[in-house]
Amino acid sequence: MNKKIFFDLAKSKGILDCDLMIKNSRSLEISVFKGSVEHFTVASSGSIKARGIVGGKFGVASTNKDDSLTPMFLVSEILDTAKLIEKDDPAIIFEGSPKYKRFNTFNQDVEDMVASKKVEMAKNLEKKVISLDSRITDVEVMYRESSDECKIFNSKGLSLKRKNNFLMFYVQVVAKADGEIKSGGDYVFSNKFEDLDLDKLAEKVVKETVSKFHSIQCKSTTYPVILKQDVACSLISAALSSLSSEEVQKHTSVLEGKLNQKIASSKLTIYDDPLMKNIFFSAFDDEGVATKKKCLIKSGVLKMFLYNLETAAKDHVESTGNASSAGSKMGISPSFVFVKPGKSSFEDLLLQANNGVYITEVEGLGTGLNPASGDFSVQASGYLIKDGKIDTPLSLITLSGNLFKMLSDIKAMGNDSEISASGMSNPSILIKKLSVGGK
Amino acid sequence: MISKSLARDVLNTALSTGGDFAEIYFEDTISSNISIENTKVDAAQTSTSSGVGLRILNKLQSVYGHTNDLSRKSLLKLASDLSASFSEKQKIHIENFKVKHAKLKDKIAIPYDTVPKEEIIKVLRSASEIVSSFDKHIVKSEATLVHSEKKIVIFNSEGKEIINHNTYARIYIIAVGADNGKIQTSFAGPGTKKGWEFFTKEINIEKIAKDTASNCIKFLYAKEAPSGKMPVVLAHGWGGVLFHESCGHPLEAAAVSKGLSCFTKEMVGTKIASDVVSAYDDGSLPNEWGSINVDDEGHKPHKICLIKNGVLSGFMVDNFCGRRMDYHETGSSRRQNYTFEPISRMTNTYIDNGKSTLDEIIKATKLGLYAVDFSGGSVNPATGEFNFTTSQAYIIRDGKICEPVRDATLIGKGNEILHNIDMVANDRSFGQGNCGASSGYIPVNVGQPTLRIQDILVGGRGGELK
Repeated sequence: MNKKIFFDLAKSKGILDCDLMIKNSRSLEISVFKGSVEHFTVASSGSIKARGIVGGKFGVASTNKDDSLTPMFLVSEILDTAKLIEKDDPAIIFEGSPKYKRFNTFNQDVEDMVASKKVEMAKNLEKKVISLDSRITDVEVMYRESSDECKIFNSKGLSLKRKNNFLMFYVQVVAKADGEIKSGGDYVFSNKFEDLDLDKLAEKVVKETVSKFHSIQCKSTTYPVILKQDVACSLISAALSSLSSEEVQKHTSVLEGKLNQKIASSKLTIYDDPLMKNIFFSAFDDEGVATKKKCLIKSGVLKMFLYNLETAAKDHVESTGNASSAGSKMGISPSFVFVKPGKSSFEDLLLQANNGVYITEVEGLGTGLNPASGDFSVQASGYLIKDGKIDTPLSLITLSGNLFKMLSDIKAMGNDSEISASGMSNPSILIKKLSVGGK
Repeated sequence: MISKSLARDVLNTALSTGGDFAEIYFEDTISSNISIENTKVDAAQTSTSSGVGLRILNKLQSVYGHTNDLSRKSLLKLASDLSASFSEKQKIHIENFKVKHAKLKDKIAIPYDTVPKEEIIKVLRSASEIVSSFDKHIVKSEATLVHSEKKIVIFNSEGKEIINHNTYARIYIIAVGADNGKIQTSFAGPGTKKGWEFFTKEINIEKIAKDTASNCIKFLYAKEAPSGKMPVVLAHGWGGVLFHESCGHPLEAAAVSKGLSCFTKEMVGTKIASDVVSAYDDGSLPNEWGSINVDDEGHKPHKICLIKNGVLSGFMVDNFCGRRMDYHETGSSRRQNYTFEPISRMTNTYIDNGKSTLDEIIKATKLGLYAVDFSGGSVNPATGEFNFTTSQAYIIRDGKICEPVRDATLIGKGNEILHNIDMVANDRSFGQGNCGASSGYIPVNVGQPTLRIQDILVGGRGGELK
């Protein structure tokens, strides 16, 4: 779309402050099953979202149609929707930050490699998985790559662009033995092929899956619990939703009024660091505000809430660069969460737990966890820890508690941090006690 | 729109390397939402989206591509790129299409585009006001109408052009209560394929708003759900999420065809559930949220018997997964939009009526949980391990429904739980949901009569049930 036509048309209709967010992405997905390509999917997509201030209120429109009628559609929808809005919150179009950091998050090599090579890598990965254990009965390997471009333009002259890409291999396996069925899956991702160790992925998935045989349900009681990295990641992300200033202003955050108070164990320190040099790097948020590294929780003390332009204006502070466009609203979310690792190796955590439970997977977080209250009760699986060593596998157990109580009960942080595909770096964590339901 | 001649050229290019089936799925959608928060209009947006999904099948291989660039050049390039996956001789050549208009099942008396926005706002505001004024501990009320009109045209290498249209509308009502560090969210989301008349004449939005607020306050102060194994009575309607997660997903060809399900073809004709369980998936029911005029491959839906008196009878099958299973499709192929490749999914899935009554079931239960409403769940089809969480539940003591309890998570194995259902009532109803899987989020109904599971693991934070 010719953005000048949009801005000129908007101005002529009396919309002086407006912005455009234009996104384009391309993706390729290949799935391999029983030695053949089963699915091969290529996609290109684009979207245009426009916002404009009319009478002090935001009107919003979006489309994926890019033709000569698009500017007219966007402008008329902005006018129509703005007049419906009644909330009194400030509507702001940003004039731009003085400086934006730069870091390349796009690797052309990913796009340049021919598809047949990617297919071959996926097929080899499948072969490797099957070769590792005769109990593996079904394997599905998926390769995915995606490149995304996002541009922001506004009537105050702001013009920003970011582009990134990534690739991912995902393996799902089913193993059967003695009438028992177990499944497992894992992934690796990067934007460089050379970073990925596919043999290691295969070994890890197979080892973890076959180790689940002869699982039991443990006795229902409280245990010292070690949370595997990705389990800890899911739980901490949910807790961080209470750091949104929007939730605080609406009195729906349990952390309201707790700034500079101790809300977690002194072992816990968390940063939001969008400028960390990895594929999650992002120099600006969805309103065009430059991002920065921030300490959210320092040694258990809550240091700040996250803001966009609107909530910042209400509290007379500056935006923290955490605006995140969600549907017709401008939401708030952390960018790249970095949980400071501790000194304990995983073996040390096991010794400290002594007799407890190691949780490797949780299911049903979408419904079993209430991010507002922090209460959770979810399906889980893992292993018993006996005398400081991993023992019998557990399945169909429940893990329940409250996120904030859990963060206060942290006994030790591991030194084994991993980065998840959702954009967070954190280690395994030992919790003093959590309720585990079984027999 | 895609012209017939362009569709023909695209399909012929797609088939040029030996594909045995090709299909164009064109979609043009307009969606809008209006949202009231704490009695004020907080958000309003209209968005449009159109695009094409192109699929070529050749035996057990599928290639798929989608784009929102509908120019001739872009679509022919997509067809040519996708066809590069095969290198055989062209087997099928398309000349013409036979047009078929899908019969629209849902009568729409008042189309949404004829309703003034002010009237919609009035209804939503009233709901928000009812929630906000219900109790001083309600800190947030939300009422949102989400509406979409979707035009679909499917062209395929069988020479068919199928024209379909779907209207979906849903009002979400949310109440958030907070007191003394506790926060409780309650939700209601009646959905329909009918017109605006559904919300103003057929259901009572004000009552739904009041019930949502009342539940929010009730469960804000309720004690924590117990944990451990116990008998659970699942209420009719939304209780069907149990069957949806535990058996519905594992009975989709998507899982069965690849051996990634706890159920297999070889189990057809064998006992997988107790005698009182019969279950169906029926996308042909009139006026139901999960119903479809035609599926997203253009096939007519019909009633599929999944389980008859405890015996496994059938699966939900799409064209592609059906090839691996050697099964015919069952009108079950669905997708959220053109960006997803279609696959077998549920429509209106339910356990059929039995002979008991709600009263009999409650009276027969000495100590257990009565689970009335749910926030949803998930399943691993391969192992059958599922979970779902209550949003409204009560303790049953000595055959009576007693105190409310917060957030109980029920977990088990689909293939085991079916044998564990010992009483089924005669009060079947449906609950409306949005189901997420590999082909995106789609509207589905879950349904069942009130039923009892003898013994299931409940995970709550309240300790042992006494």
